[in-house]
Amino acid sequence: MGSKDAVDRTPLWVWVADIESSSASSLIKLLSAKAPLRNLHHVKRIKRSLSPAGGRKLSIIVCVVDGEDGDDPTEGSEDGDDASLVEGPPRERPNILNDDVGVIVRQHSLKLYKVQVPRSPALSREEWVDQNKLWPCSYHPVAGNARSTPTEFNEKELQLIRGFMQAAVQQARIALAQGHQGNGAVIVDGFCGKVVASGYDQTGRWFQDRTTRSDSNADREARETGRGREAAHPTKRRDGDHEEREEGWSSPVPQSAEQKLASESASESSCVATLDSQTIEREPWSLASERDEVVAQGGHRLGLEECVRTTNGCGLYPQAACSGLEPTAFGDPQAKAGDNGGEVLCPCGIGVEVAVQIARSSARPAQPYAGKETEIAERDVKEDARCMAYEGSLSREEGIVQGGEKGSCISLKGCSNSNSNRDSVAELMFLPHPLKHAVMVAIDRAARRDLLMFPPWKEGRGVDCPTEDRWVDCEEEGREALSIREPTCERVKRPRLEPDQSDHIDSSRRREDDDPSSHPPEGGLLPPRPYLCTSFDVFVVREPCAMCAMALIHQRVSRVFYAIASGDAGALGSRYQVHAQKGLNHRYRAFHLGLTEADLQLK
Amino acid sequence: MAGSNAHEIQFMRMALEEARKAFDRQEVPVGCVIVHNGEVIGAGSNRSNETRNATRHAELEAIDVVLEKLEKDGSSEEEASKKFQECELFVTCEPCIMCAGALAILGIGQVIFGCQNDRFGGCGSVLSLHTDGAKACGGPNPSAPQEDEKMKPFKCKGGVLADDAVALLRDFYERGNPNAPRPHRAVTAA
Repeated sequence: MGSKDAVDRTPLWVWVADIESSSASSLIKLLSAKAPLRNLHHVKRIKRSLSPAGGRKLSIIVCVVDGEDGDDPTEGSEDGDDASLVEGPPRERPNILNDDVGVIVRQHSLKLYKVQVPRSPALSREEWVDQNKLWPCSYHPVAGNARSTPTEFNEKELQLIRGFMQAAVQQARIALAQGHQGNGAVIVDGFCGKVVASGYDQTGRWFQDRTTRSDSNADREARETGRGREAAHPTKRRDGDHEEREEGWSSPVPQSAEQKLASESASESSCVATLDSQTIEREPWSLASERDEVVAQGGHRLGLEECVRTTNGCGLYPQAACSGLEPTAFGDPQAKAGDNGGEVLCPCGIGVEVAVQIARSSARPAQPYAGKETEIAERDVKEDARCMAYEGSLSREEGIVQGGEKGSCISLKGCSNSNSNRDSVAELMFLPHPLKHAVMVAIDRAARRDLLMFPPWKEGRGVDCPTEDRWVDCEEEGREALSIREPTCERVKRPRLEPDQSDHIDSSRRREDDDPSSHPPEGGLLPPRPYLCTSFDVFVVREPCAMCAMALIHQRVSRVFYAIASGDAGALGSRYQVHAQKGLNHRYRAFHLGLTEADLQLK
Repeated sequence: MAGSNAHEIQFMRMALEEARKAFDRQEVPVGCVIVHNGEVIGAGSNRSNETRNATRHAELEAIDVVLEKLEKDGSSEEEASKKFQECELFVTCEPCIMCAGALAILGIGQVIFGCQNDRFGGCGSVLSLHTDGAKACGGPNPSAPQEDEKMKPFKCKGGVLADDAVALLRDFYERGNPNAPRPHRAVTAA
C-alpha cells in the first residue's frame, strides 16, 4: 500500500484549447459537468497568459489525454512525442475524446493542443511555485498528501518551533539516559503556545539490545543499591516517590492500598517529583542508578497511569488465568465515587510534572532556547500553576512550581477509591512497555491532565457518572459513525503560536471555562468540554510510527513537527501518510524539520 | 459468518461481552480478548471517553492486561514477546490503524475481528498493516543496527460474529455517544 501511495511526480498531459474570455464561464460549466478533472483538484481549469500578440489569452483544460489518467503514463507521451508542449502548435482534434466532450469541442470550434500539468498537489510552497510555471495550481497544505517542510513560517514562529522541538529533544535525552529509545514528544496548546504535556519513550530495550538486559535479580540488586544511595540524599525531591517505588519493587507481595497511603502520608514529600535532568547531566550515572531512575521516575508515573487506567476483563472468565485480580469496582459509579470522591480532583502531579519540567528547562542556561524561550517557559509555569490552581483543590502555586514540595496531594489517593486493588498491581508496572512510545506517553499525560483540570461534571461532589438525560450528544456523529470508534470533535479554529496574544486570550478562556464542577451547567447541558487534543501541536523527535501517527489522528491534533524521519517505520511521509490518509475522518499537517542525529546532541 | 469455527465464535462471544461492558459504561462498544493456548489471558474494552484519551481502545486495554500479568510473573521481554507471538486476539471491530500498528509492533500471532472498520481500519479497510507489518518509531537503532527490528505482519481474519458487533455499535449510536463533544440533543434512556 505504501508504494502505491507514493507520489508520482511526473507531469500529466492534458488537452487544452485557447478560448475567448466571453465563452469562458459557459465552457467551464459545460466541461466540469461533462469532463470533470478527477484527481486533479489542485489544477486550475483556466490559465491566463499574455498572448504573443500582446493581448490577454485564456486557455482551458478540456480533458486529460487518454491513457494519462490510467495506469499507463507512457501512452500519453507517445501521443505527444513531437513539439506539443506548452504553446505548441495546435493539433487536429483528437479522436480519443468521448462523445460529450467531442460535442463541446465541435460546438465551440476549439483547437486542441497538448500541455503538461502537475499530476499531484504540491507538498511544499516551493513546489507549488514551480508548478505554477507549468500551469496555475492551487495549494492547500492541509489537504496535502505528504509531509511538508516548514518553509511557510516566519522567523518568530520558527523560533518557537525550535524551542518546542528542543523541549522534545530534552525528553529524548531523559529517555536515552534511562536506556530507552532516544525519543521525546511535547504537546503544545497551539492556542496559547503552552506545553500541555510531554513524554518520552519508555519502551526500554524491548526492541533492541536484548542480550544486555540483566536478569531481574541483578536489577533488583541494582535498585537496592540505588535506594541506599538515595537515602544518603534525603533532600532530593524524588525521595518520597522513590521510596514508595522501592517498596513496590522489593516486596513481592504488593502492599495494600491503605498501607501505601499511610506510608505516603508519612513521607514528607510524597508528591510526584520528576527526575531532575540537570542531575543526570551533572552526575556520572552508573548503569545501576540509571535503572534506578527508571523506577524512581517512570515507575511512579506508570503507577499513576495505572490508577487512571483500569481494566475490566481480568478474572471475569472462569478460564481466565489472568493475574488473579478481583473484579474491580470500576464500572460501578457508586462505588467509584465512594467515600472520598473529592480526592479524585486532586492534581496528580501531571501538571506539576509539566510545570517542573518547564521550570527546569527555563532554569537551564545552557539550553539553546533562543531569545524569548526562558520568558515563555516562565510564563508557562505560572500559567500551568494557575490552571492547576483554579480547580479549587489546589491553591499552592508555589508548591507546584517548586516541584510540589509542599505536598500537593497525590492522586494515588484519589485513584485508590476507584480501584484500590488495582493500585497494587499498578505498582508492578515497572518494566519498559513495548507500546509506550513518546507520543503515546505524551497523549496519555495530556488526557490525564485534562481530566484533572476539567473533571467530569459532578452533582454536589457526588457521583462521577452523569445520568443519561444530563448528557448530551452529537447527533450527526452518532448517525454517521456506526463503523467508527471515536466521536469526532468540532474543530475549533484558533490562532496558533501567538505568544503576544496568548496571555489575555488564554486567561479569558480559562475564566469562561472555570471549574465545571462548581456550578451546574445551564439548561441541563454539560459544558462542551473537548476531550481531544483539538488545535494542539505536537513536537516529536522521531517521525511517528503507524501506531503513533494514528493515535494523533484519534486525538485530533492539528500539526505535528518531527525532527528525524524514521525510514520504513515512519508513517508521516516515509512509509505512509497517515496524517493525510484518504478515508480518515481527520487530517493534520506534518512537518519534517530535517535534523540529523548530530544536531540533536542526544549523547 | 461462513468459515467461523466454534473456537472463534466462543472467544468472539467473550469479546462481545467485553464490548457490552463498554456499552454499559457509555463507551463506544468494542471489546477484545487475548487468548493463549485456549485460555483468555487478557480482556478489555474501550475506555476512551472515561480517560479522555482517544487512544484507549479495547485492544490496547487488553494488551496492557497481558503485559501486567507478564510483568507480575517476572517474564523477561523475550518471553513476553514470544508469548504475544503465540496469542490470538479477538476483537469485535477491525483494529484501527493505531491498534493494528501496535499489534504488528508487538508481533501478535493472529487477529480475529468481527465487523469491518471502514473509517479507521488498519487490517484492510484503510491501510493493511496486517500484511505490511509495522515498526516502532525511530527507524534503525543507531547503537545496534544489526538488531534492527523486523516488520511483523500478522495473520488476520474478519467477519466473525460481525452482525452482533454491528448491532451493538448501532445500539450505542442510536442511544447517542454521551461524550461526543458537540451537544445536539439529549440522550434518550437506553
